[in-house]
Amino acid sequence: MNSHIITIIIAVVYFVVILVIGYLAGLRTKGMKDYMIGGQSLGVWITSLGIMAAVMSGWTWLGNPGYTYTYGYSGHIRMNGIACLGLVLCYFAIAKPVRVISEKHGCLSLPDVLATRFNNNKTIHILTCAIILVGCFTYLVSQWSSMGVVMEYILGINYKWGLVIGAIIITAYVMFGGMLASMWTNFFQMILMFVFAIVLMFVCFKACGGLTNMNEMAAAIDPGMVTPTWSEKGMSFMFIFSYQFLLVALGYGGQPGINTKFMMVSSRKELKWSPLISIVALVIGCSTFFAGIAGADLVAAGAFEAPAKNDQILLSLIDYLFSPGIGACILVAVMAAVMSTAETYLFQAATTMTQDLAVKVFGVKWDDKKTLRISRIVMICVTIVTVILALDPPELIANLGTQAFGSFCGGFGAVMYIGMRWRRVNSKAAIAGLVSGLCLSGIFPLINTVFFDNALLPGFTAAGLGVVVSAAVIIVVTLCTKREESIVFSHFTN
Amino acid sequence: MIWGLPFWTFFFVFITPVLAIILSIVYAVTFKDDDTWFTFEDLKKKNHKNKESER
Repeated sequence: MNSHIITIIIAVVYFVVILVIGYLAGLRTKGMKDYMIGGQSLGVWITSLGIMAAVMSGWTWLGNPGYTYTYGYSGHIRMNGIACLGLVLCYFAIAKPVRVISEKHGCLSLPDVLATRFNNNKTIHILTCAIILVGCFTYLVSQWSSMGVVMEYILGINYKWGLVIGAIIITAYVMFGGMLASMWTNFFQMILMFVFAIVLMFVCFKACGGLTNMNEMAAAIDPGMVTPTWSEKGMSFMFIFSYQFLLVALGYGGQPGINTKFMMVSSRKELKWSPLISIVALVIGCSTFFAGIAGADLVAAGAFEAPAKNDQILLSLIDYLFSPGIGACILVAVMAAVMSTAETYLFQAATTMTQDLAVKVFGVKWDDKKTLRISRIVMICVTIVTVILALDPPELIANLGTQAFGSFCGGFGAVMYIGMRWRRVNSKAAIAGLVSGLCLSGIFPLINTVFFDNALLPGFTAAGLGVVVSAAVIIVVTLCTKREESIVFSHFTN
Repeated sequence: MIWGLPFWTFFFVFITPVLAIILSIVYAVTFKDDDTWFTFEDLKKKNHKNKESER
């Protein structure tokens, strides 16, 4: 059978499976608690793998191999070097506090948790909603764009049609089934990614004559391919340090796709083994970078031609290494990665506007069922707006999309970590931390890219600086202002 | 060279995931199923108590 037809059949089967999952989840969704945090009924496996599925976007499958194909191991170290340690830090610092606050105070979202931590402070609630909305909208535009590219490649249809079909499918199951659908499909998507990442890794090793041989072949192309930094290609120590060590490792806790999910487990006990499952999933998922090294070796050996764009190295490698059936499954895993991230941010955007802004901040009196209905309508509106933007993304929006990750890390990271572990932090310090983090991690990099072509702070990830400055601002303002007793610590005995 | 990689490359590619796995096991072993969590203030109190007992 023609390989293209096999790919289309497997993709259609995948779409049917996730739509059925969405439908079944929808039958169990009765109110906003079910819709937003799965009724706090999820087990450790679904939660832990769901967290990782949200983190692993299309970038893991397309960008990651492309980056190592271009920059060798230094590219991998910049993007993933100590990400797994950052994730462990995130669990140690905020997983339990977020779960307990959600349980005791009925919080359903990150803005809700942060506002509650600072005694239902409205400014903090509005500020966090604004950061989330800007981040989610721009993230969504970039995810829809990736979806269009992947669907175009897999189904052989026009980019715009691919984007629209993908967006309709995702919106259908998330709108109907809410977070439950998102988490169940995330689980299924993560299993797909997990299995095919392992297959891909070992097939790459085999194609290059083993891991050691693969690395020696890479070093023969250029010794910089295997060194931890590669200054000639711009991967200087400071460039890697500012991104991986400051932004990713210290800012993971600021990602709403991660911290919101700590609220969803059925009991606190379920958090116990969650980091271990998440870390193993993260390590296996990120192993796609080996495909970049193997791709560089095989292109240099003349096994196949270099792709037109470096990001397409995985696609070229799949064509070369796999039979049509397995290749199709890996392509569907790539699509699953894009979908799992897109659905998380689509959901966040819609529920932030309804449950957080309308109901909690502005005090609109909707009952649970009406809020649920309006959330679903808002989700359709968010999809329409972001899909229109993604059809031909304006430069500003495309740039904002790349800054969204940094904005979340810089905006929320320090406030979450320090605010949860230092009782003395007050609302003034939190507001100062949120604003300074957002300015340095979101707005400054955007201005630097759009107006200065990254000439300010060359070779440094400004967003990483945002996390550190935000932490420093929180500490200084806390020490200089009056202590406020927070309601979330009221049950502490000492 | 370990598996064809310089030490620091090997460290960031293979050792950090192992460290993360060890730390996540430490998290599980030290996890307490209650509704409080460790804060900086607890650290201060511990130091204070230690000093008092030394006196």
